[in-house]
Amino acid sequence: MRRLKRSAIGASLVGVAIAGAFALLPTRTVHTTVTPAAGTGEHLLLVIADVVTPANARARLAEVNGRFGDLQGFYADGSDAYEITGALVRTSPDEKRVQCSDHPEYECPHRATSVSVQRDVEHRFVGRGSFREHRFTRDCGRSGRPPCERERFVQLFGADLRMPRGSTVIATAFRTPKGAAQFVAFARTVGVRGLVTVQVSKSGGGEVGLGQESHPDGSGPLTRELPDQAKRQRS
Amino acid sequence: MRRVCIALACVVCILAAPHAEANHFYTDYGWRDKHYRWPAQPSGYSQIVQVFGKPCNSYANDNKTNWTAQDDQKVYPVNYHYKLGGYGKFYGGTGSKNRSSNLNNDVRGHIRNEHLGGYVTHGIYGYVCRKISGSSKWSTHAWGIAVDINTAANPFPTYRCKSMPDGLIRVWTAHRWVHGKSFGDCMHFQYASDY
Repeated sequence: MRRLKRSAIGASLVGVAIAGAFALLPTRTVHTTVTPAAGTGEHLLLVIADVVTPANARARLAEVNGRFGDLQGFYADGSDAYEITGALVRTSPDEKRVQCSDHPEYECPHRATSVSVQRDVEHRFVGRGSFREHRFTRDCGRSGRPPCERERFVQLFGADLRMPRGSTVIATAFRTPKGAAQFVAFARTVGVRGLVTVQVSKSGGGEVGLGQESHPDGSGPLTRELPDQAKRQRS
Repeated sequence: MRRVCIALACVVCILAAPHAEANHFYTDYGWRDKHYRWPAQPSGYSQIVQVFGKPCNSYANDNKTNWTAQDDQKVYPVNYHYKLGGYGKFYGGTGSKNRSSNLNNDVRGHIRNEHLGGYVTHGIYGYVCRKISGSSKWSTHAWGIAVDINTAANPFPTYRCKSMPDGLIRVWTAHRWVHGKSFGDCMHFQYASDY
């Protein structure tokens, strides 16, 4: 019994000594600086599928992204990082109906007399201060007219285009109007509709997919802010 | 009796007229499978960049072919890489004889010649400057070297392809395109391997 007691005391002392020795060793410094997410401090174009509560964000994101196959769709980010400065309003119809007899190159399906040709997406910038008075295209949503958007903008942001606080945006970001337009056209092809595009200033937040658009010089992907970026987005 | 026979013959002709096209081959309209100026099929990222340049470069969507989906009767623009087409006058060809014949002339021409066009359904796209979902890796779509067809019928991921007959897949693979079935992407055809 005495021997056991002495062994236990001895083992404890050895343990303390070892711990003490380790305490004297120089520790590795762990850098805790967080790299700001790409786009912080920039004006960006956000293509938005929805604005939801944080509790619903994951489910809504999965629902929307399900249509993109193996391609990246949208991201979820806190709305507090974004201040809306304007909107990109659609000026082009989604599709144009053409007669098969006039366009044999389209190889109309059997017994079809006309087909719908998908058109490029075109936008026009409307500043936040002008949005309330902006006149959207009459007869929107009809054949040959741009899709209806006003109600969707107001539903998400109100007539004054204010980003709801404490929410989560389901969105993807671009630096150029062309990048945003090409994504909207692609999303339309896979059946995702009801998207709106806004210009925002980003003050923080997380990843929203920047870099997935062509550089205007055609060299490859656009990975950095452009000179006069905000101005280019308004033209 | 003679009048009845003539009338019957006219009725048969009228009924058969819409189907006359189906009995013709595309070769009857002057199409030929050229196999001209096909680029080498790259293997892996480095070779893809070597052959086709950086992702989302201006050559990646230089060509365009309009493709009509047989189910929703919509015409989808399919943009793709400069090096993969543009030859001749068929399916968006530029009229040039110095461009590749691969996609617009050979692949699409074969599909029509073998009467497989009716199997191409909606959700059709080519170039998209986008990464693979949940990854930092670029999709082959970002180089304009991938085309997805019948996407609505074959949501990702799936290893059992629907509405994608073997004959249709064979046309693509015979022209150096890789079918995505092996990685659960039945809708997907790409001009690259090991990526």
